[in-house]
Amino acid sequence: MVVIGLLSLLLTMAVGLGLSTGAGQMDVAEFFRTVMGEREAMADAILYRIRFPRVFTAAFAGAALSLGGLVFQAILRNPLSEPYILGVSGGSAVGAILGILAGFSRFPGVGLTAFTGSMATLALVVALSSGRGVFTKEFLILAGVMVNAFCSASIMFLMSMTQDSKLHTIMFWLMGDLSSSDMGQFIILASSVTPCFVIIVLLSHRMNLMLLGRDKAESLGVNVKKNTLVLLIATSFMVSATVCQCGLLGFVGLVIPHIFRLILGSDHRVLAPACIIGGASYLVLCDMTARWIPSQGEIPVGVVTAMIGVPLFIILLRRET
Amino acid sequence: MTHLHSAVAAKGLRYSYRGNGTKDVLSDVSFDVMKGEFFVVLGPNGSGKSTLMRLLAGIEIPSSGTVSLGGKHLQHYSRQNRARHTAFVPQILPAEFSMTVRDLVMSGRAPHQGILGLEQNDDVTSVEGAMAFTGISEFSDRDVQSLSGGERQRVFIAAAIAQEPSLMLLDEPTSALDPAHQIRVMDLMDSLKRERGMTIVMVLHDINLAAMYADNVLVLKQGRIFSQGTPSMALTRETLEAVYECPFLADLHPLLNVPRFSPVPQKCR
Repeated sequence: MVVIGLLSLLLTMAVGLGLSTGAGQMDVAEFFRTVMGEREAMADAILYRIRFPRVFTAAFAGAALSLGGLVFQAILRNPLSEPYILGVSGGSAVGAILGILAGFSRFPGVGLTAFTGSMATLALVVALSSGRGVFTKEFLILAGVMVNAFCSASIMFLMSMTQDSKLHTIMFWLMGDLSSSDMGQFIILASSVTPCFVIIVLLSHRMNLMLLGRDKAESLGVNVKKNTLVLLIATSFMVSATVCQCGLLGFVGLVIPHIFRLILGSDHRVLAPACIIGGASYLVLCDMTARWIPSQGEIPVGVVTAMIGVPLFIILLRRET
Repeated sequence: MTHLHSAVAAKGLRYSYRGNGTKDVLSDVSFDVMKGEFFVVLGPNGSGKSTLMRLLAGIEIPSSGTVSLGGKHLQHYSRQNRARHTAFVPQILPAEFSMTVRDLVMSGRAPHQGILGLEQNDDVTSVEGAMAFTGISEFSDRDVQSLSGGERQRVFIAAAIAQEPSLMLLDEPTSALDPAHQIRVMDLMDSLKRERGMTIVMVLHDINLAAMYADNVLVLKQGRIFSQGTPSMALTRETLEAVYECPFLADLHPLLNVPRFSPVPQKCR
């Protein structure tokens, strides 16, 4: 409870900082004047039309990706799993790129193709690995790696067939991009990932029991196959919603659950809310950094998440062993 | 009348893995375990013992035949209700996650709790009792990863006791333990039977432990019942030599007057 309280405080601060950082000349003082209602047309527009949707998109995306990583690590009982490993991110990327090339709008067109892509890869991975009706850990990962390799090849193929103007959009999006969020897209993202958060938090104790192995969990009354399927579908749904809005943001799903597992142990009833709030704070701060570092323009936020995430991950891993 | 006293019974059990040809892992297995009985399943590696336990626990569904629990078909139980009656200690105990001993024992309370597993007073009482009974209270705050094999085995047994089942299923609970810990685990099970009237069904590799503790034994060979009955009746030298395809010497245990067997090494034959 204390941890969740502290994390909520961190998130509030991160959102505040995120809202008061950006290319438009608007300092913290002006930010507060705008929030308090001393309206100035320009500042008002920057805050509510540009920064607000962007910061909150980052928050929901970060929450979805780190919770997705937590779920995959619990189900596969493999600490290196994240949405990327199962091919879910790759599948939704292929779907989304096909959507972009076909000239669809981000929502619902690209969203639908992305979700279709992720569900197709998930179905393929599960079909490949469930010969005996059991999700064997090794088969699931192996199938994920194979499907992922195929997705990467497909992305390369699609990019090599693409003319220049669209290529830039896709490139930026592949590196993770929050710059094109608007209010409508934020609302669609938030309303598609929030039900998934609720489902996963409700199943968090089942995830604890599933840590004890399939036989032990079954003997405690848990339908392992059904719960695994529900968790995988909810996770791939929220991941593909995030991917098609923000592109491929790596390492959020790996780093955040790991940090919390080291600090908080392995009770998913605590870890799931911690990953939601902590992942949200993390991506908001990464996005803020992406907008703040370069003097002109910005760098893709996926570059920041990787540059912070990878060294942090290595340090944590070394300290643990 | 017999079903009133039946704890768990198997009738015509057959099991085969899908896509594994026509070879059955188990075929035509029928037996009846009475309430408060100590029942041991013996047999060579690959004779279907573990599969039988998983069928009794309701983890796998038989290809044909039925398992009944307290006279009622296992399929008619809800998962939660089944878990309130039956606890299962698997052969391989996972250890690749960090969790305190107390939290692991608390997991046994899941069938009595809501979906989020929030602790009530009776959960705490039950967990404390199970830890005291198995002698693990003094390290209840330790991480299960740091435990020895014998300690870990007792923690999983404590979790099964906290489940407050009437039937306890254990798959080779002693095979990774030294002789002192083996006896300790067997004594624990024996006192659960004597003091709480719990029914114990256990897979063992050690024929002598089975003879010392079991009321009845079942000997499997290649998925079929080879012999069945009290240790004195079902465990004979002829039976064991036929089942394990290895010569044995037989005598009597000096204290318990039950049969005792030693396999004969090649150099003495």
